[in-house]
Amino acid sequence: MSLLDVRKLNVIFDSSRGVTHAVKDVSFTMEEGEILGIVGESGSGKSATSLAIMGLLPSTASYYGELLFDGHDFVKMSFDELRTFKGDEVSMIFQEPMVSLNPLMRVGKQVEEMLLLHRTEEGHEDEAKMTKADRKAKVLEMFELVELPNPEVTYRKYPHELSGGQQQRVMIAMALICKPQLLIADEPTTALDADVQDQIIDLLKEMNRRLGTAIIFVSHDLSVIRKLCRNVLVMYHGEIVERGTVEEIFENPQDDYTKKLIAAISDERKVVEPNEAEDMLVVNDLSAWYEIPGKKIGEKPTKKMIVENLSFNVKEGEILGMVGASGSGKSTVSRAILGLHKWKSGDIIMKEKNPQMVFQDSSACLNPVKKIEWILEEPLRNMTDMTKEERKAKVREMLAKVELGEEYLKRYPRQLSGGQKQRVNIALALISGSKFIIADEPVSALDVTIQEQILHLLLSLQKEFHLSVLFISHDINVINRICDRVIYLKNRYNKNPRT
Amino acid sequence: MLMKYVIKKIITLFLALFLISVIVFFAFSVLPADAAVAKLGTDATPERLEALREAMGLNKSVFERYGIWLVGALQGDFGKSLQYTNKTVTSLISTRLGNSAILSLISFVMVIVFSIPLGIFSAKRRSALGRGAMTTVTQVTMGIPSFFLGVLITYLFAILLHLFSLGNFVSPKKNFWAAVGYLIFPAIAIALPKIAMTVKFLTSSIRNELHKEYVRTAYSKGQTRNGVLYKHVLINAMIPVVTFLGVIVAEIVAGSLIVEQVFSVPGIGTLLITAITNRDYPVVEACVLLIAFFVIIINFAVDMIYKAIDPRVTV
Repeated sequence: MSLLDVRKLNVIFDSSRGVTHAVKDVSFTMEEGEILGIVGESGSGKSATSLAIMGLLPSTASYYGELLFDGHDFVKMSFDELRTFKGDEVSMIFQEPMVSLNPLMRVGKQVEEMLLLHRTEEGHEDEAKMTKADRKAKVLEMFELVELPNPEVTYRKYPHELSGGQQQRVMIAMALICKPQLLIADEPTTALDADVQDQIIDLLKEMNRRLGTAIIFVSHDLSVIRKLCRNVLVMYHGEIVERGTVEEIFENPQDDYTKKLIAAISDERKVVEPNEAEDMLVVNDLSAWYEIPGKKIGEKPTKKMIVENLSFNVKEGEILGMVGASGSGKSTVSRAILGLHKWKSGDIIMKEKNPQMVFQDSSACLNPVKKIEWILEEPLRNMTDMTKEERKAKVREMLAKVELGEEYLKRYPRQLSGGQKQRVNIALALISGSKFIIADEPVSALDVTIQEQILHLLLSLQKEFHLSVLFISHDINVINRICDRVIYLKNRYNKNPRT
Repeated sequence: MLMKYVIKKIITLFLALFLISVIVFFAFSVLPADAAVAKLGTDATPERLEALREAMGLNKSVFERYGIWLVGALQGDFGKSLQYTNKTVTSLISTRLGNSAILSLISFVMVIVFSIPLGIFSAKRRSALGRGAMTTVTQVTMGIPSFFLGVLITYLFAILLHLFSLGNFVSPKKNFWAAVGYLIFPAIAIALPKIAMTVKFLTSSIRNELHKEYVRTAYSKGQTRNGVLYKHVLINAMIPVVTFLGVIVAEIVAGSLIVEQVFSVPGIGTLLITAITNRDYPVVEACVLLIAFFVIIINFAVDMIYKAIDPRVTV
């Protein structure tokens, strides 16, 4: 008997926006100790599948089919019957550890809660009733196992006092403390920096080896799946379009969608032509810091250095990539260039008087109560003397440039997809005729296939308008594909230019 | 850090009190009639008015009067009342402050005791009917002004049920429990609309929290529905409610001023209202400053409670 046998699982979301058949007749099996990857973009049904197994779908969803875990059908169970399995036999970790932990509870207590729920009633097979001291010892042992520093100290910390990687380690400690047979990991590394991602993947591998826990690893990123899993399911529009071992999928992909996914992570590099143009931006000896107000009365504020003595330039018509882990000061540098950062020294010389930005969170930058037409017209109203008709014509022209039809003029931002919103943001950055753009992780929040389209659009617009772009990203794949030169920001300060 | 914050707060407290005193003082100077007119009536002869003004010190310029008042106030002397001859403001307030304080306190306790369980009860309603019923009840209760509720309560409890008799208030110094027994009824009038507001606020705060991801985590651990609600959601949902309760306290104090009138409770409200009609500015000044002081202190307490429940807050 397989550990998990999913048969003809269907998930249907019924909300005010209409009915979505998110998962269609999905069937797969998993053996004890196996690591199975599920890959797909948002809306592919991969998360809905994993949430269905845990009985965690929102109340707007209904599901049917069979979810046989060790022979028990989860679909037929009541909430309370399923509850005895959750956390104890099957557990889950999520994409954003920060918000997945209760912000007001010490992390040690949150992990201990697992034991309170599953190890305090008498009659459990492998462990007798645990006392308070036993529970704490067990939590500390688990913290040690997931390599959290100073378990005793960490036990008393609140989630916001830990780094993202540490928070995810706490989540893993919590999920594995009852030694479940299956761990479902829903994009557990997506919100983390690249090097932390690798550490978490290594940790999951290690846990699989030492505790024998089977893992379902859900991700949109095939390169992450490749590092961890042996078997993969590729999901698209609620169906499994391809399945096999990692080698089979990579060497001989059958489905078109799988081929696209693989193309997106290949080591493709942009062919760089020599650029003899003048400098658009010269940054000389830039230092930026924050001032932290003194804790005692009369105490002077302390400087927290973010970047020190950074020098670089961006030529006209060039895309310069800036790479670095979070906290390395990428965003501070861009804010300093735009004059939005108060505490800085050094020289910033820019040809463009009116630089523009494109941000990661495409929806946060668009006023939710205004229509797209109004939003795009705003910079023209403020910065030019164009008549109303000229402005309207310009808006239409720009919208066409980012490949959106006129029907979008009358829509609100919430009626657009993430990719479409990012197109509007790009149009917004270009509409006032700026030749210099800072793009801060513009595709990081998008699905792989959408990423591809947006990068393509950026490249063609860059050529057409001869733009200079400072492209900030943590994703070296993306940087390699579109940038002419790259600078690396190490944690705290410094740089190593590379062409 | 905390010390710095407390000192900052104390400075703002004094600045606010100073500004309020200036505003109240000069507001009185632009009113058409003064305390002398209020005392002698509009048909008094100009000679008598003039003599009384001279005696009351009303002939000095408003700046001069404010200066005299401020010097006294800084020494804890708020002067003499203009309406009750020979009574100091401090003595007038001190005999009434206790009654108002007890009334406000009972109202606030009622708000806490009833709205938290009701909020939880309301948030748990999942059917459209249950939700609709809760919304209707809270809407209606919220919409009735306290003084009108006071009239209804007097009619119901005093005239129909004879549970208390209106105007028969005993000072808490003579018989504490009899005073409390009387003040419960005006407290209901003050508290009911506030309970409805708090229930509505807490309900939406809980519902909002239920969509957070840590709730999903709690369910993934195998926590029960009640366990999720009481161990995780409630304390998170209380964070905005604490701020709201700070506002409610100020509202209760303001509400009690009028409800005291309806129930003939000799409190700060009754004193303040007669003082305003009699242009008795020393009394009005002192009452308003007292209320402002109280509201600012409550705000400070709210910040402290905030800090105590939310480890992310640094003051």
